[in-house]
Amino acid sequence: MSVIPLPLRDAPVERQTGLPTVMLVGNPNAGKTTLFNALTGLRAKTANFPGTTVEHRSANLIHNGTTCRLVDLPGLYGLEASSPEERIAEDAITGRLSGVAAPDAVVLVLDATHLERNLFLAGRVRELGVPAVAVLTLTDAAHKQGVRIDFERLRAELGCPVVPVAARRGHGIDKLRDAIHDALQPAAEGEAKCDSLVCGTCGGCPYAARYDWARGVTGRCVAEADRPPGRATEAIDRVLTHPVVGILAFAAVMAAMFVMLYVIAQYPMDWIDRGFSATGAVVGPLLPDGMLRSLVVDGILAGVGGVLVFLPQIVILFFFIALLEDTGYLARAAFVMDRLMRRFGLPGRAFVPMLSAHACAVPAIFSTRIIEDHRDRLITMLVLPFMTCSARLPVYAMVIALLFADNPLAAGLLLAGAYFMGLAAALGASVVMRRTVVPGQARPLVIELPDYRLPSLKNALLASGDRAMIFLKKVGGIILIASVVMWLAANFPRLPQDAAPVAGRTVAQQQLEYSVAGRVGRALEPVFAPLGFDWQINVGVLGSFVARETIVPTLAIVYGLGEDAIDDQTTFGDSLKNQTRIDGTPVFTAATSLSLLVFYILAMQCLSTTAAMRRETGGWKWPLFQVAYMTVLAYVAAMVTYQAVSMV
Amino acid sequence: MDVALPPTPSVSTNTDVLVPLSGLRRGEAGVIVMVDAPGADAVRLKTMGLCEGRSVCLLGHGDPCIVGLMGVRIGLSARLARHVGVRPCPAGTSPRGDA
Repeated sequence: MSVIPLPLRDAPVERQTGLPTVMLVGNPNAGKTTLFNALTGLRAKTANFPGTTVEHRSANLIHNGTTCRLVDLPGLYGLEASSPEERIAEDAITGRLSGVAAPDAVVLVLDATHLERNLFLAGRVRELGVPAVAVLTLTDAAHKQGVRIDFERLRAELGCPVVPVAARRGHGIDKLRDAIHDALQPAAEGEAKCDSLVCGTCGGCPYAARYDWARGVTGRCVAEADRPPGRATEAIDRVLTHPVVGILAFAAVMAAMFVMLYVIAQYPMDWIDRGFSATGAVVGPLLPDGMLRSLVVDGILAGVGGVLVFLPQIVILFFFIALLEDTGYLARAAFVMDRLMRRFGLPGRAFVPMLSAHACAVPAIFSTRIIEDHRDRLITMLVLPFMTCSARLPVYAMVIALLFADNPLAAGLLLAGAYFMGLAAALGASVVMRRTVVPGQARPLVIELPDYRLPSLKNALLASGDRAMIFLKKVGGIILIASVVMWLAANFPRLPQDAAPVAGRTVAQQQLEYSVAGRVGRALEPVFAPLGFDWQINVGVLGSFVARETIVPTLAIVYGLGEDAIDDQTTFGDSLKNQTRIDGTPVFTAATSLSLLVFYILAMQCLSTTAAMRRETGGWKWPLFQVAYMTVLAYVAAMVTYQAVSMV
Repeated sequence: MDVALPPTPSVSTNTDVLVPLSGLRRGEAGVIVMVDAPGADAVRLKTMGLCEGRSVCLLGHGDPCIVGLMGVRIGLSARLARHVGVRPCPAGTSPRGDA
């Protein structure tokens, strides 16, 4: 199965520190993240395992004068290599993963409220013979449910120390540190293999043998295992997984998320925008008028602002997703949406990124991490940028003002049509790709619906902070470089000082025409002529490959209207409408306007998204494929639109 | 593709017959006797605990359905649920922690 793991040359993640390595292993929902955060606090770093896109968090743990490296492995149910996470986790635990030191000890994270189920993985890991410490998490919840665990007995059964903790309250964390410290000492307890298990794997069904063992251990160590499972969870699920009410509840949760991304995030985004404009206004006059000032203000400052402006949406989205995941609702969302999304070859969880992409594709691409299966995740990422992101809106507004400035109803319908076309393109592309580049169906749903819990604010804050750092480190640089390159292309070569002023043309207009961008725009005239674009539009389209919304100011300059012209939508639309070609016919006919709209709905013109794709797929193959297929589709669809409307 | 079982009775009555997991009544428990899903899906089912010898209970019908096992609730696509063969438990002997 060729799933995304392409070499990531820039990520020598796990440097050979020479420190002993301790790996945290446990089921999803076993409280592993909370435990890791309790042990390490703010010191953790998120990175990919070398040569893969599988993430882990790690931090140095200092206790009693010993330092070790604590690595949080992905949440697992088994080590059966049915997913890249499991394969990599097994390789990491057994020391077969190149670039990652074999663990000197493992910490088995066991949910005390579901011990039998968690012991399956624990038994499997114990068979590997690595020194271990077992941690029982959620012991406070287990106690409330009347579960009594004989820790001494469990210690004997597992052949390793057992430490009960309540990680959120910090209970037992110091004892766990001691136990980890002890496990790293030579001849520590827990090196003995869990022999009772090994023969279960040599004949018959190894799964059944391990589950029988887990059940036996639970029977011997846990009193009152016959308790009824979470009644609260069952009652809530009766509503939230209901075929009708469940979908309505899901719609309400998603609406809340969308408001946060689309409305609330606008405030900090505006602050960042204004902050950088203000900085430019302050710094600009300090520099000599000319190229340097322009480079600093229009190139670098604008570029840095263009990177930071993504942060509010990334932080909010990941905060929200962490809360959904922590409460247990995310699994229900996947559950209720699975049937619908499956028809289009997408998993139920793809709905969350697809909705987020209506605000911005960059955080949405990061958020596809909630999809477990790598092929499902890849296909979701490939179709996400069709969604109408907020950067498309200025372009849509411009085109709609060109077409229906006086007809609000038609304008509204056209805008709705644009949204629908983006969604239809995404679903259609997914169906086609399931028959071609990523063949097969979405992986059938098998998902644990964990007990509902109160979310941890600390986990959510750490998760969103982490994601923001990854974005700045791995994506920000590319966006910044691209902004400066675009600035260079629009400003060089310089218009000669002695160039004769042309009547009716501004200096900025002449400079742009003289620059690399202007020349490429002219060179591409024959390519875009079938779409009804003139060279000026081409310049705007080219600039849009860095960010779509730049076409609006670019057109303002290239048609000699001045950048300030765009502040008034109506007069800007009118000015654009008055633009004529050499033969005197208007540039923005209905055919050209619609063709431009269709092109912007479908084209992949966002370098930030491409940079995010590169980081999340671990190479350039899939992002380049995405740019290619979306651009070809946009070109063909815009051409058909132009030709068809021209004929009417 | 489905479990080679007698035609699915929508309501199981006889405790000696095998029924697909999806054929259990709501709230009815059973013991898994066979899992014949194709390759990787079988591995996923088994690591999630849907493996021979385990007691399960159908908590919610539909696609996906909800099954209970080892005190955990699992959402399961109906397509996979048809690949899990179950011997229903006699009424009143609901297995531990699954109802």
